[in-house]
Amino acid sequence: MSAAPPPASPLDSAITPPTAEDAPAAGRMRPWLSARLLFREWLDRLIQRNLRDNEIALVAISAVLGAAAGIGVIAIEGLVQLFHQLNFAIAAGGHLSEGGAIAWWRILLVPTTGGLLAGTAANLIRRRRPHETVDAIEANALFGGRMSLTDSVTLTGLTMISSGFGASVGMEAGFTQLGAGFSSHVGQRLRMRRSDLRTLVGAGAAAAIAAAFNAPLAGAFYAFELVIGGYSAPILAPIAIAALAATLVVRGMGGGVDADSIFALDQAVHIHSLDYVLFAGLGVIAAAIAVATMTGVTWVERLFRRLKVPVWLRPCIGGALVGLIAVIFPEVLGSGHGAIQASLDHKITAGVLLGLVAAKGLASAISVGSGFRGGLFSSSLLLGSVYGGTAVVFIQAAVSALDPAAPPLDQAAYMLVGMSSVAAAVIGAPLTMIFLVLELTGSFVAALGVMVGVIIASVVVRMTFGYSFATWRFHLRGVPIRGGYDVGWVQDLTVEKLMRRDFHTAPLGMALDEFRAQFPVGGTKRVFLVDALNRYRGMVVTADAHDRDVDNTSGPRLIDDLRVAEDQFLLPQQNVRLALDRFVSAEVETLAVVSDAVERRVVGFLTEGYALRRYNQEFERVRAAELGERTLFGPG
Amino acid sequence: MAVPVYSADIVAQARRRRMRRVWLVVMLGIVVAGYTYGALAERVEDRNDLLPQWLEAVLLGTVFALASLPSGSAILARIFIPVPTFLLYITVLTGKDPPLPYYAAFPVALAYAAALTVLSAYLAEVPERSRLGSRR
Repeated sequence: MSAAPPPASPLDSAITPPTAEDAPAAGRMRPWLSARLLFREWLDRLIQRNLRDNEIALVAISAVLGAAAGIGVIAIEGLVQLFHQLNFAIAAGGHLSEGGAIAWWRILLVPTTGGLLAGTAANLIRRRRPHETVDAIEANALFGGRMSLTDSVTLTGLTMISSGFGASVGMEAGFTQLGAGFSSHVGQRLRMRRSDLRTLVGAGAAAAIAAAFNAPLAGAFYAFELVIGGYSAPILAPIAIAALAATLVVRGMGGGVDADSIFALDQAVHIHSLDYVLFAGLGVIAAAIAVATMTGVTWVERLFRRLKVPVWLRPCIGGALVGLIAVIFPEVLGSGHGAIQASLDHKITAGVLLGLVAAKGLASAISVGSGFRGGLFSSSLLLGSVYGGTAVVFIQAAVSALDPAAPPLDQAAYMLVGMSSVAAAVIGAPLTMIFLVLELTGSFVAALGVMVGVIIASVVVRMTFGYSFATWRFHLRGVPIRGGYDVGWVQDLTVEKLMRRDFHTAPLGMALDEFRAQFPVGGTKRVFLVDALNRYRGMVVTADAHDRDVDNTSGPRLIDDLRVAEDQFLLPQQNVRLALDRFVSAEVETLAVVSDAVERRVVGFLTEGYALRRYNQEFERVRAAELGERTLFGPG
Repeated sequence: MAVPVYSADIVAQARRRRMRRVWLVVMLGIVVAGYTYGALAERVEDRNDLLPQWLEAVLLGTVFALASLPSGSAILARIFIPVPTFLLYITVLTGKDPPLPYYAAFPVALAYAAALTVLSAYLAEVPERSRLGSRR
């Protein structure tokens, strides 16, 4: 076989398709298979030379993925709207939660049927894919940005069924799952680095939220706060570009700047000095409502478990309960976008607003707790909006009683503050909510007021409850993460990867002199004792065995008397953080690694110094990658 | 029979658990009152109520909270849940816009009355969540 001519430059070699001679077995393969292999090899070279570790390429890919996410969001929203029109007979362009004249039998029947459909579908899917679906936050925190596209599409489909049949859930969870899942899939196919893959997942989520709310800044900060878990200069461009591309696509396809906004405020917001103080109080109660809603979901789940209702039947019962609520308060159906606008337009009376606070909270908790798929983003926006609208009535009455000459309070401002405060507390993304209000109202005055409520609500929830809805769900599942920041590398850095295998063993009961003869000073530093069944029984430091003070003590001169850490050992699958904790608790500098806790066969050993050094190196590498630094451990 | 003596920690723990349950039912009482007030406000016609709307809602919420307390006498309060709930909600369902026909409003109002009664019974009588490692 003749050698291929040398390429003119590395770049040429990267983009020149290899010839058939490059593939050794190509001649023996079928032509299509050979061509496929050659294409894959060419693609690999292209990726390795031009895409990996290239910031411009990452930004370009993010833009394309952002645009794709925008198209995806439009398509899904269109399908869900179609579901609403078919199921509830609402007018084209109308919103389900506007509270129009929907036939009572549809309100009772459709969510129940949807629950049956969603429960059965989820049950069938669970049989084929029994694992939990990894969402964008979990993927970035634990799996270096790796998500399953199949799982993401499946979950989005279930969310569409849930929302399409009137469950009181938002579509945002489905949007972000699909956007992030698709971005992760593309990133994996392009063999992106771990840090770049995490950025792409963030870009996908940012694009999805930006497209859903027609708000690029809110989308970008959603990714920073929740999916990435922080902000750094290198990730700004890909995430912002993705959010921008998605927004432009939505505006281009959806009809202008105001396309697809969840609400429009056609009046100026007026806020007085006293209002800022009241917003702080509003934030405190918003935090309580947020915590009640989040724990309400858990409470409903627990109730279903206690009543031993089959998992597939739970959404059906949940749908029936939502139907019973919606027959009085139809605003609770679906994500609630129409109801938000209706409440801002003063189409809902104060009394009904008060009822809606309870009804929407209950309907959302029942929907999510019974097993409908979807999130609480939109639900918390409506919940907060009607809460703000209710609160302003009481506050106005109190203020008027104290000072009849006081100017009237701006109801819209209170609704915006209530909306943002509850949503920020539930979602765990205060900046996202501030930017969302800023982008949708265009009012800095409103954004300032919102900032007060949002900050207070976030602080109160953080101090009293400690979780957002997403991290609360992780906590209940036993997943030890509090955000999207990367902790997966700690899980990957296992004892098995760190341990040394050149260990020495000695039998339990060995005479001290024999031990000294077999393990002289200057040889191995420590020897592991094993019993007749080859089980680990302790460790002897060789220097201690050769210490002459030992000779002055009376008693049996067996090596057993010098052993330490008899019950302290590590397991290969434990991560470095657990190992370092074990060193501290055992108060030794070296620990044996045994095969398992029962058999206790020594397979290696690990020193505290080496574990610490590797932990620091890895930590520094991750930090450098996040900051885009090209240091000793950073990329490049 | 000897009376068991518990440590101060155990007594405090039990008190906290009880307070949590009381706090929960008070919150749920407020939710029921708010929900009922909103539902009553959905009516478009004057139904000639015996009491002001807000008082009806507050009374129902209070009765629900009392009926849900973890106490043996909660059953006395529970007696007052089904009929008033049914009557209130049937006026809501037949008086809202658009109204439900009577044959639909009746079972739905019945469902509301049953739901509140059963929920209060559950809250009052459900045992404490068993702790990890306990034999209960």
